[in-house]
Amino acid sequence: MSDSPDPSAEVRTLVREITQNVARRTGRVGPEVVRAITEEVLAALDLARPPAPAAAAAARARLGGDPQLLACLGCEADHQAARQDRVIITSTGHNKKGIVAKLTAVIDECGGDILDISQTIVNGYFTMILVVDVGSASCGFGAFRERITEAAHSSGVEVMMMRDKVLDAMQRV
Amino acid sequence: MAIWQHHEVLETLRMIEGEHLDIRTVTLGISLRDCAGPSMRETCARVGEKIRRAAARLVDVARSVQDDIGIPITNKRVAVTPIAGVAEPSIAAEGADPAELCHTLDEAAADVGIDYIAGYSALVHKGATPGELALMESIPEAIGTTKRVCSSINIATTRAGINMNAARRMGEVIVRLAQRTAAEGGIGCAKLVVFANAVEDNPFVAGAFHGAGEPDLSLNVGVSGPGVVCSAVRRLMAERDRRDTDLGAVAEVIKKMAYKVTRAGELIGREVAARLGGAVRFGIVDLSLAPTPAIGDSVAEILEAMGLERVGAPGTTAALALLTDAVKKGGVMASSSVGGLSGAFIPVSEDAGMVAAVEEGALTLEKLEAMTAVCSVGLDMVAVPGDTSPATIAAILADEAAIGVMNNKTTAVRIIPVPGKVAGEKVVFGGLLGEAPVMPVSRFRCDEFIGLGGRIPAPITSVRN
Repeated sequence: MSDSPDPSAEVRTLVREITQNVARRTGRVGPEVVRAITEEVLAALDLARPPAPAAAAAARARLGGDPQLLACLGCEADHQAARQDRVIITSTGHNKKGIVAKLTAVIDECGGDILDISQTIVNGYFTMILVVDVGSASCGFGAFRERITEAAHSSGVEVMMMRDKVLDAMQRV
Repeated sequence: MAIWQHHEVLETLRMIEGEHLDIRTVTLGISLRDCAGPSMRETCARVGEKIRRAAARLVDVARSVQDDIGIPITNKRVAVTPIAGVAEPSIAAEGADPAELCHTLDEAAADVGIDYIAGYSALVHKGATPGELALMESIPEAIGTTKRVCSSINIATTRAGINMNAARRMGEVIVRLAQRTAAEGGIGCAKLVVFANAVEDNPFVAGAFHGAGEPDLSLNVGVSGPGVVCSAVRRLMAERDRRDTDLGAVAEVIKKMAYKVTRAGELIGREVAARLGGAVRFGIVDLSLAPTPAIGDSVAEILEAMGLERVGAPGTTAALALLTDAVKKGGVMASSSVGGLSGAFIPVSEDAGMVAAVEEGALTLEKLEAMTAVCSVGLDMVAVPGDTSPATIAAILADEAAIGVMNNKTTAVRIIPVPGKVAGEKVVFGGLLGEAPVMPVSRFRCDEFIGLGGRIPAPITSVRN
């Protein structure tokens, strides 16, 4: 895609063609069709995650066709985005004031959405686990990780981050 | 909304951060069958072009997946179609030297930024073609003068028996290769594996090659994790006073860890394959526990954690059998794409615990041989005295092949007769290859037996249809 002068135009054409092909092949339009489309589009685009909501909206606007299909496509994309962009942040260290505030402020600045937070202190030792959706974060995953790490170190705590798909793979049968 | 339990998050972090959980290798298998041409010059050009094209993004993609998912990928490698077949037309047409292709592989590997490329190989378990004979003959020069290319020769299968002519020839090749690389302790032999029942989708160098049943491009993953398993066994053993712990419980805990490690491997493998895109297909996860010289990343330590004073002590074979079996059971539950060698590796030089056991006299060549009957491969990275005769090496190859053939499993030998060294001395290879004490070899001769040549017939278990 990177060789193309306008990658988004190429993406749109590709999405349209694949949508039409799959709809024609299955003969009906429903969630299963949409799922098939999503999978094929992602495979064709070689993307690790779905397009950002803004890009998805733009693609939808240019797609035309069945409104039901488009609504389902939106749901599916949103669902995928929510599933795939969760990160788990674990922070440990000696307890002191303001650690939670500092980390959550950085998450907020980056546009991350905190889905779950739990924090305990045992014998003065601070442990916090945060589940954050970074699907609509303004910065990339790498930059997000750097900023969080920086904030944690300035508070004197260690921080580790991982994608939730790692946990999903390793901890669920 | 408790999405994840605390202990699940903390255990996963501990495995990655504290216990060396990594993906040992992502290996891109590349078919070179479409590159064979009547002239060596043309064949080399096609081979170089295809590898550079297919593997151009391998290192970058693996790095991006590592950064994104947060599990380290230690090695990025390439396995190719056994070169004997690729070189065969040009060898037949113009008597070409297959070593030229070896240099092409070496240069292509350097260009795509990988440390090893494997597949300078031939499968000669029943007999050898002129091209395969030429390739075996070229190994000392080809492997001795390149840095990144690894070679493997399959001399036996359960279906065909053991090609003893090939065993004898490889005994000579190994000695010549050691002499060719004498200045570096015979390091060339660390890049040469002699197999029985070689597999087509093994991602682990040096024995990797891209088999005849594979697609054009496939991405195979070798997981690691001795440290993870060792820590889990140690925790269990530490609690044995409070809990009812027996070897069944040890097997259970290893099984669970193998499950988790395999799942991580498959996640990474599928992600790398998807991001490489195009014709690349995800192939298999190889479950093998692969040690490194790093402390805490040792298979020997797992066996010792089960209550053996030193690996090599009586009970070692039983403990290793338990370990290998539990790893397989956990891994097979975790993935439907299990392949490769899948078991436990016991390379001496690459495992600090094995090195210590040899130095203390706990582990001998004969005990290692017994252990290979129940683990995934064979006598791996074993240093022996430089004056070991080609016939004795050939006989060691034949012994290992016999274990593989009779037990319907893969066995392999990677043995280094270290020039100028005697038993008790040490050779240092550095990096992942580590360092090895030179182990004594039986002084009793086998020349007459090896001199007979021919083929040891396939066992009765081969007649299965």
